[in-house]
Amino acid sequence: MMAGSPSPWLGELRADARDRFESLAWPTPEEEDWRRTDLGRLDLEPFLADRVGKAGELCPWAGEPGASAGYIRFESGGCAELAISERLRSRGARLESMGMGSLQGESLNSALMRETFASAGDKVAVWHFARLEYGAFLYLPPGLKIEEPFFVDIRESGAGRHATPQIAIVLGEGAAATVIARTKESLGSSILCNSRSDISLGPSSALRLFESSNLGPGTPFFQRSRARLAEGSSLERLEVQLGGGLSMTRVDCLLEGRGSEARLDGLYYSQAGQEADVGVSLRHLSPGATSKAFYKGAVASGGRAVFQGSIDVGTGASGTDAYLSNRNLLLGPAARADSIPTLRIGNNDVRCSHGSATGRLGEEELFYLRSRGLSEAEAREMLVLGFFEELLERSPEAFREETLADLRRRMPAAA
Amino acid sequence: MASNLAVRGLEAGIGEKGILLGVDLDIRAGEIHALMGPNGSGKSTLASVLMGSPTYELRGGTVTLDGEDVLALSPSDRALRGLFLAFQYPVEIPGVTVGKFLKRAIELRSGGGGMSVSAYIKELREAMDFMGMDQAFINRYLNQGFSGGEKKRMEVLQMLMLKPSIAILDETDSGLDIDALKVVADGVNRLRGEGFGALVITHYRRILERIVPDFVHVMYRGRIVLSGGRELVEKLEEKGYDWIREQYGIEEEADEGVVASA
Amino acid sequence: MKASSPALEIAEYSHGYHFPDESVFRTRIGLDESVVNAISERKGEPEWMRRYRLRALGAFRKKSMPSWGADLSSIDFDALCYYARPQEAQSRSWEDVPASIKETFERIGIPEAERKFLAGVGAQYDSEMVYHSIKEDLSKLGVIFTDPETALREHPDLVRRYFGTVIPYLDNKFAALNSAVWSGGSFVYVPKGVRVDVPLQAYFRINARSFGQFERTLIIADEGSFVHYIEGCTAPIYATESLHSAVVEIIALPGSRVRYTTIQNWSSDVYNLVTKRAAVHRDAVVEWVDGNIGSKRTMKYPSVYLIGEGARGEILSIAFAGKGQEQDTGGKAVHAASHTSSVITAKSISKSGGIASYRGLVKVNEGLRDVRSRVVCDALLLDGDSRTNTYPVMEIESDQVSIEHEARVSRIGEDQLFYLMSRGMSEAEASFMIVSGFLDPLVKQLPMEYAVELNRLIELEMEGSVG
Repeated sequence: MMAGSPSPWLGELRADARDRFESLAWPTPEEEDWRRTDLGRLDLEPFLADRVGKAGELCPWAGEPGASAGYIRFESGGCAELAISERLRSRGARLESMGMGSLQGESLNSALMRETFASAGDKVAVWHFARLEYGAFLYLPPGLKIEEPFFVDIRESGAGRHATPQIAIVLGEGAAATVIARTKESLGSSILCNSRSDISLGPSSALRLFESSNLGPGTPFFQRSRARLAEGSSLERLEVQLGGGLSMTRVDCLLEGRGSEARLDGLYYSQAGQEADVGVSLRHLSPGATSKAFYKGAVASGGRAVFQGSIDVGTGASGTDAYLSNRNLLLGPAARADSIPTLRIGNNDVRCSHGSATGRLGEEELFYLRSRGLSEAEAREMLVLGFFEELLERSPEAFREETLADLRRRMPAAA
Repeated sequence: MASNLAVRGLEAGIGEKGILLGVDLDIRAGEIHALMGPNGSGKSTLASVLMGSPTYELRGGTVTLDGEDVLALSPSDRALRGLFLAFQYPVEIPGVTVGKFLKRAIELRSGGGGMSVSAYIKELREAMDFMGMDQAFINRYLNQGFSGGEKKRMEVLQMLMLKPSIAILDETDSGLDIDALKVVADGVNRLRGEGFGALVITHYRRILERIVPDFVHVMYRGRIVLSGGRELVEKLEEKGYDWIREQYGIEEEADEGVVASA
Repeated sequence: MKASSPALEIAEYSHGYHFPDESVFRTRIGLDESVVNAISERKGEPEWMRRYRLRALGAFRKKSMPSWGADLSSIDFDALCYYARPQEAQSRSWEDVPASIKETFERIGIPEAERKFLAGVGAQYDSEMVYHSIKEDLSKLGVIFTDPETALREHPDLVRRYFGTVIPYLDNKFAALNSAVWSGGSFVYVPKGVRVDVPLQAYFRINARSFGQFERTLIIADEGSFVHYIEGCTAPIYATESLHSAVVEIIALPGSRVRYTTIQNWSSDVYNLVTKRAAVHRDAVVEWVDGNIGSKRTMKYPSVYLIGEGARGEILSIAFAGKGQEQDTGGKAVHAASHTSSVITAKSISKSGGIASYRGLVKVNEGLRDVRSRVVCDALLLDGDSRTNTYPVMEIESDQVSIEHEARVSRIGEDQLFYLMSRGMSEAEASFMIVSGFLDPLVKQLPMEYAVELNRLIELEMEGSVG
């Protein structure tokens, strides 16, 4: 493999995806999954043109990563920086730029990409693979447990750019890692962001993943996350969705292994003009697995959010323990929140339930805070941040602080 | 209906774990036995296994009631033979009122005939007064939303109404205040007599001051390691369970030791 | 000539109908303008109703089948008979009634007099005496309780004002079908301020000699009035035709209260698709109590449209899905005014591979204040083969709201079984007690006789499942 040119598998995958892309029609609201997001309202034309990205350049090596286990940074499709602790590298950990990595890394990465491509259901998902430019790939060999987090930073900008960020994580048996991934769009850009996170957890492995998206106000945003959990593995994930114009995000968690565990949390905030369609699916395919999903959203006046969460328990999944919760805070008139939690249960030896509640900030709480001298705006901000606190309290400090700062920026400024 | 319960070499456990490792015990009609022991010794498991809980696997030994093999019987049949368990953590049965449930249980006990509705209500009301329970409980759903103390009183109330020949009380005194304790003890003492035998499982001596036992047993690591008269309670109070551990903790066979004849 | 059901004479078919004599009449198989015209003419309806039916037929043809809900693909619309005069639908001999049905009657305790009627034997139901005296009391109050055909003749203005205003024929395919071929049902009008203390029961109506396929019920409660209407019964109902598509419209004018109770137990291979909706005006209350047992497929979502301030709607749903059955039930609450509240409580039991699904909607329009809604769904799965699904949807466009929803799936707890068995109950009895306890909060809302019958029916159903 020549330095400077990506592995052949990436090009082949793109070509296959392009063929499939041509053969499909854009999804319409007639289809179940797209009922609440009407693609017809977007002008996709500008993004269909092929634009040459910076992918294919070798990532500049940045020496030791300091306090983290490793980090990788992408700027508009090109890898800008890559660092991984030498100590961890020597123990078999791989943090690489997709297409430009080691033989072993490329082999694992391509296998995972092929598998998830096969599962891609509609034209939008296939589009991501057809234009797949770059991605971060993380692999930990069996038994390697790392406490310090890995960082993945994705920055996008450009006019009319169809960005396809990709994160792929493969953990060997008994491995453990923490990953913080942030996607941001530069001010003044007009991109369409079509991203994926794909996760494959080996038996008894554990992943803590914190992902945030902070895009421009008009940006169409599609995100698919898919995780396969083997026996005894555990996934803890928090996604923070801020920004974007029309956005549609889906998490598909397959609890394939006996006794696997998933804790999936989500935080979303829709401002005026934003429409978020947030989905999470917990699929119990094996016995004794546990899953919990807590999704909380706040919608400001003129904004809109739809939450679609489902728990599916197959006939063989006895001993399932699954719970889904959605809470929506409406911050003003002309805010709209839809909530659609679903249960499909095919085994009776289970504990499954879901709950959903939608309302506004408590009058009494607001009054109390104001009686202590806070302005209306300050009191509202405090309550909204308090609302999200339980999701953020388990995150790494830096992630939590950054999210709170991003949220504050979105709320009407306190004087 | 007087009965004699005989337990020989009873072994039971869950999965790989053995909890009862050979329990021997005799409870004859008219006798009140106390069972004490540190946490984890298997006291509650013994109570559950005697009643036929599906949670535990039987691994050996026998239990007979007047010579009849009890272990082959379902929990319902054991109840109909006169066995009763006052649960440590009574489960809730939503939608089923106390009144309706008890009436059915009594009907079954008396072989389907049963008393007239008015006679039943009269006896129930009287028993509830005795137990210091508000009549309103008759229409409450069984155990649902009951406090710990209310649940325990409900168990003893059931015992009074069903009049078993052998009653096992699984830590019925735990978490109760003085008044509740008195009422529970009064309930047990009310049934005391020739036709009634009981196994009172407890952690504390308080209740044994009110329900004075004829025999006291100490359980440790799945076996009854020590038996005696009521003076054993004093000794335990004085020396604590560490004394038991010292005596029996290291050697697994606890055959020697003071076992007073029953 | 062969009859599709025993002891039935078939008339010749041409141009919609042909009836050589009064006693035998049914339209020919299939559905088109001539059939609809025949039905309307047979009933002697005013022109406007005939035209309404024809427009509805047009809508039926254009509309597609619902893309969600129970599987209805095996309904062959061209193979059904859309109208038969009530008497013919009920004529088989008592000997032909299956033993299982006879046993059910016995077990549930259905009075002798009712058994033959329910089993489809004989045309006379001897409720004439009862009905007459009730009818007298009602007419003194000014209450109208009759079938829609009679109402159309005797109270045309009243019917015209309200018919189709809550469920227009364009609403969905099955509402359109019913609007085209409706026959039988009830018409109830309660004048201002009148409280009807005795529940009005469907089978009291003399003309109701069968449970029609396309019943149309219209209930109008004028300001400040109260009425409780009950239809159906727990006993298995003999049905000749396999598609039942009824429409029930309720108009609850300001300050009124209407309770509508249904217990349906279709015993045969029936597709039971019902559109039930209430328009609830200012300070009015509508309560739907809906019990569904039996049938092959049921799709029923009683709805409340809260259109006046202070309106309240409550929907209680019980569904029991046994072997080979699919209950697709739930409720809808649409809040179109401020200071409204809705409560939906749904409990389902699935056994032996049955599927019970909850489908619900809570919608709050823009710009409303003080809207509250609470939905609770509980599903009990009795064995490993059974299934349950929950598909709730909440669409909230106002912020001054409090909307809650929760759903739970459970089975009979082992510890609960042990506890009850330790008090002497057999496993079968303990299971039944837990199941009836599960339903108790809802069953308590039914009139006494129904509650008792329902309990016995559940007991019967469960005997099949616990060895």
